[in-house]
Amino acid sequence: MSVTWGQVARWSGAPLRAAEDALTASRTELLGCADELRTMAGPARWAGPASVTAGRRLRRVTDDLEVVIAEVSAARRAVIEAGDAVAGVEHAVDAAREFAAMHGLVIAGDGRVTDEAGLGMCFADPHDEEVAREGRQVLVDECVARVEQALRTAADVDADLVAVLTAVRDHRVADGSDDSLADAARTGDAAGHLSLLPPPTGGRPADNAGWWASLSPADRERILEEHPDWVGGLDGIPMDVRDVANRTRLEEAGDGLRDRLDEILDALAATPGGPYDGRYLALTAELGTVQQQLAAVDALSTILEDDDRHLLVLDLTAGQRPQAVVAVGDVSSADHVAVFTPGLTSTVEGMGGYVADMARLRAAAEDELFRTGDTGSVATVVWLDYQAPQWSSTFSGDSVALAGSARDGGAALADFYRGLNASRETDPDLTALGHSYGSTTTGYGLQHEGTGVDRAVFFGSPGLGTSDVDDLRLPSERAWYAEAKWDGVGDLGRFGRDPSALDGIGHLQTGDASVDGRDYAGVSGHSSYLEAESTSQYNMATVVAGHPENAVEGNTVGLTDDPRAWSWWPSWLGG
Amino acid sequence: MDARDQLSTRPSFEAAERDYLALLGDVRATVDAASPGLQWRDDTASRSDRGVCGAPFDRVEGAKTGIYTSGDAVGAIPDERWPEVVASVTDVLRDRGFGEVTVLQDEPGSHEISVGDPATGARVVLGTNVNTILTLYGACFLVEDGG
Repeated sequence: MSVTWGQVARWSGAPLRAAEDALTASRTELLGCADELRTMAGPARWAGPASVTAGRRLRRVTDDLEVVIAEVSAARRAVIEAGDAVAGVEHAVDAAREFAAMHGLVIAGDGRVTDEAGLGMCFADPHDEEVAREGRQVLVDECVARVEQALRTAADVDADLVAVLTAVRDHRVADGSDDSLADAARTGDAAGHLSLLPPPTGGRPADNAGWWASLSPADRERILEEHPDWVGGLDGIPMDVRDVANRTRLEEAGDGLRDRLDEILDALAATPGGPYDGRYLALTAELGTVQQQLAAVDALSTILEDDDRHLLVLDLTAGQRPQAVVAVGDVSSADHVAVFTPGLTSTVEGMGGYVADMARLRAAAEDELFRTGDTGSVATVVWLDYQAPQWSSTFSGDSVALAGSARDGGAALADFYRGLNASRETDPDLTALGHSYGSTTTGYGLQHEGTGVDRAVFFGSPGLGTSDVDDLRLPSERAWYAEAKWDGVGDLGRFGRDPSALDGIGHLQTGDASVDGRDYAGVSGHSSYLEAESTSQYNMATVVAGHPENAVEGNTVGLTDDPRAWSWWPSWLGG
Repeated sequence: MDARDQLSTRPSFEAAERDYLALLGDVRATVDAASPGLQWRDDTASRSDRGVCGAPFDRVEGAKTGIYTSGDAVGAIPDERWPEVVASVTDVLRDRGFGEVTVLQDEPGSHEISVGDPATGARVVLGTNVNTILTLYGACFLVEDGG
């Protein structure tokens, strides 16, 4: 029989705690019998048939007692862990109700969620209404996921407890073969453990968040110790948890790769073969992979030595380039979060420069907030959880000329955004930043519904994967584009219209700027947008800090841009 | 000269950090002397971030860069005192190699300057509006135990 929301909402750990007390008392009393049994063994020099019979009888009593103590221990262990798990479920129920109340949703007795508050306002622009509706649906879906995952955990606890208690009832916990009562108690303890509930298969970020919210602190600790791979890259899990899991995984991966490197080098030294030797070729190919992965692990280890760096994704899947996501600052609590997606030639091994850029951008944004009387905190993220094209892969599936990597990466990026919001009690003010091919990936990511991204800045972009800004599921006037002079990539228009000529997008100045008494330096080329104290960096800092109104506007249009971006392009020719 | 050779001619990260923190302390004292009354949030200057360097030093082993804050102050430097603050602060900074002054903003109620060290790329930003910020973005150096 499945557990219902109405039942779970009434669950309480109190009866389990009372049962735990009773079972603990019984167990202590039974363990105390060990001394009595020793005494009952009789005088040391007692011999003869009576002594043999008494000894046999004593062993039988001891075996029976071992079975009882194992069963009591199993029941006690199961009741303790069920009590912890029920506390997790109780917390998940409270959190779901609080979430619903905070967002104007109602959870009915049967667990169904309805949107009572609705949009609550009128929209002049149908696109904005559509985006707002998607936002409401995200909230409903997240609430549904919280209810479903609380029920899933509750059903698991229920089934586990029933299984242990059934084993106790049917005397399947122990057979009396333990060496002592203490051993029997340990056997019972081991048999009474409840299983760890894995994350939902194929779960969305909201499902994963709901699952994590429904776990007891003890189960969470066990998962971090025994299964860090379950949560390290799982969108929807709190970012501080992911960091802990990924640091463990990084260390293990480094040890494993170094061992494997030594084995391969030894094997190669012992393999006289050349280019026609299959084993030699296989080892050489694996050597390249291992060296690439080790370089990524070493680079990440160096980055993580530094203040306030967090590893949010580590993906060393064989057959692809390593992928990782690194945060500067506390993404779990920051008021403003910026997620930067780099593009062509980005690798985990070379990620340090981007992390340095994001550290400076974060400091600049926080300074700007404080200087102008705001109190918000900022965290920045370098998101490289996709196969960013390399020059060496120009003619392969993840070529810079093809949209495949950007499209696939965009889907993963959309889940990262969603997970970032779902993992927190309150959503941060979220800005998406995309450079070069990473802007195309960001563009594809933002075409997914319900990302929760508040605004986006694209720079040096070969296209956003669309020629219509409304395809980006952002409210109107929340997308900006920056292009420096002599940035040829920004003029390619390879993946949709050149953003310099895109209707409905704001343009950020990248040249020398002196506006309202403020002087900033210009940048040029494809790779200087994040230079310190440049107009371009200042603009990004203001947008990330949630004050785009302070950004310096301007469209740097060159001869190689789409002619529709030229200010003198006749309107009768169409935009 | 390659990136590592370039860094080996500089002081260590630790030595540079000591200099930076002392410099921020001096600048802060100078600001206080020229414009008393600011309430600094921290007693002393401190490092707010340490990390891998940006290009061209991003792949040099043991190369690190820091961001340092004076502690920042609640309250603004009044408009009438700003020129004197700038003059005093740039004097102090010039003596320590920070000679490239850029005015980022200079309008009533809101001022900001950036003063750079052209030899290393480090710079100090001093700005005031509702509150006052004084931040030093350090250059790249080799750490003593990992260079």
